[in-house]
Amino acid sequence: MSAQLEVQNLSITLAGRRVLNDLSLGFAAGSVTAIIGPNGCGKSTFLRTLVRILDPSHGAISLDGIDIRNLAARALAQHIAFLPQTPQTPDGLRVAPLVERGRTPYMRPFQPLRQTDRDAVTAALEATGMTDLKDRRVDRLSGGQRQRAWIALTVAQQTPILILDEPTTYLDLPHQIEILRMVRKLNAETGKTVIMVLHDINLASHYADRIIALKNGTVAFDGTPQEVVSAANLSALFDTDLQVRQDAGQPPLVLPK
Amino acid sequence: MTRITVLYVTLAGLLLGLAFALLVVGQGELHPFSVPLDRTILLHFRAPRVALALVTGAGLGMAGTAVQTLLRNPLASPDIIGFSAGAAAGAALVIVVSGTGVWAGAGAVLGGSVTAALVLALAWRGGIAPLPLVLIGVSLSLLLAAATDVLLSLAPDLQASEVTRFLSGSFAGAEWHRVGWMGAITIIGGVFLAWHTFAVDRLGMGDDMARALGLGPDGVRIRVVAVSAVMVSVSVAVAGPIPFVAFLSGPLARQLSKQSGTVLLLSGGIGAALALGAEALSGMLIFGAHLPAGVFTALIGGPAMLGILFLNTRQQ
Repeated sequence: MSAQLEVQNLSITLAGRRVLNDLSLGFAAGSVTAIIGPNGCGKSTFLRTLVRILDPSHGAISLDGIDIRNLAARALAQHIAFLPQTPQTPDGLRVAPLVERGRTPYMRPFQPLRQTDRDAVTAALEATGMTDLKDRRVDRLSGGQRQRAWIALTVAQQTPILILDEPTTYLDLPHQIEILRMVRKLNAETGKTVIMVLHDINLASHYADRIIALKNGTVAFDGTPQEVVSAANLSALFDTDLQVRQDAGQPPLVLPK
Repeated sequence: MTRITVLYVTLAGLLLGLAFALLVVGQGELHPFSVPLDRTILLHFRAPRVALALVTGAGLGMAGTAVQTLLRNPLASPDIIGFSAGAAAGAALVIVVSGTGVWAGAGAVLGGSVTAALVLALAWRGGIAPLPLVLIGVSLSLLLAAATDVLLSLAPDLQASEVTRFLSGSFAGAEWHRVGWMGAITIIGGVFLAWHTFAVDRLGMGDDMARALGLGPDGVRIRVVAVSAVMVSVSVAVAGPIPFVAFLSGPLARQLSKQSGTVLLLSGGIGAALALGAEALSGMLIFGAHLPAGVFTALIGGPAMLGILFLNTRQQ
């Protein structure tokens, strides 16, 4: 599984406001990238553009050299899975049927699940530790369990690229760690490319290979956590005095000053 | 047996029982195989009423649950968001202008379809968001009801009574050609909606999730709303407005089956049962008069709407 995602000169204007301005980025297959930045910097807009929920005003996004505008919606959904920040849980839907919906890009109306679909669902439930909860109602799960169920849906989609918009919002610290460990494990075991927006820079430093910092719709900093997370960079990024503690062999740690 | 099998068997039994009672027992027992007059009564009076109630109820039930699920809102059924009111206003306008009830059906179909198109157009903001669509539909519905009242009070007595007769939804005037129209629309529309439940159910996860799975929410909304509007308009054309059947069938089907999503077939069955039940009640003498079926669905529907609102607010 590999798919090279490239962003060239991407600009987005929403309601007359330039939200993203001339972004050019590439995402190496098999890497884990965290996108950070202050509220309103265009992080979610960027992710939504990557899966063609929004159309670029200028520039293009290409997958293995093919402009995603030339791909059928189903084909794109077979290559890139996306979990929005707040998906809606339909009343009464159970975990297994939710995860089966990850097979949507491989299915047609009136066509029952095939063996490959069932295998993908079983594997996704297994990979996310949701097998024992598969008959539970999604709207009655705890926050952490529910998020695992949604990630299971994206895993069942069997895409080389996984995009997550703030997958740890509303979760307490142990569950944030649990989710990010799981994402890291999916990356290690299947070689999935992961692109996610995270608010917690310490967790981003810990679980990502690369951090992209966005500010006012442009890339402020881009590199490994060690390169990006410095007192000077972050203070400039967030317009707040911050300090960074750097211990040898450890990811950097951000603290208020 | 699973819960859903039990439900279908019970529903089938209920429908058959009601149909049999209405056809053969009804107001006076019939002997269609031995008495020729009884056969005529059965084929030309009782059978079309039962058949019309069945196909109308099924069509309303399916159209209702599809739109409710599509718009993620139990209040967003076609009879609440203006399609029935549009059809009724269209029929009333045609009756008053033409002076006869002959073209009322065409007026209903046109009125309902134009209303649906108007609701979609007014709700369009570079895409269709569910909540504005519902609010616009409810506003138009109230406006159209007022317009119908105005027409009614301006119309000469003869047309006014024709309009009043039309607006009291009923299966009493059933004829086989009406059954044919509604049956065809229910079957064609039902298959179309069944095809779309795949997308409609997935839209329940939000537009972004649906798009990420390769679906196009706006196209699905336009097609499903349009087809449901035609189904509801034709039902008004053949039987007048039968309130609350479209509104109640889906929530009842979901409650009873404990399933999520459109539950299309079961909603259609429950719609048919509601309509047939109302038809059975309308055959009974109440205070010395026969009340039209629409009165009974409204009598059940009002309290049921309150109940659903109550349950919904309690869950949140």
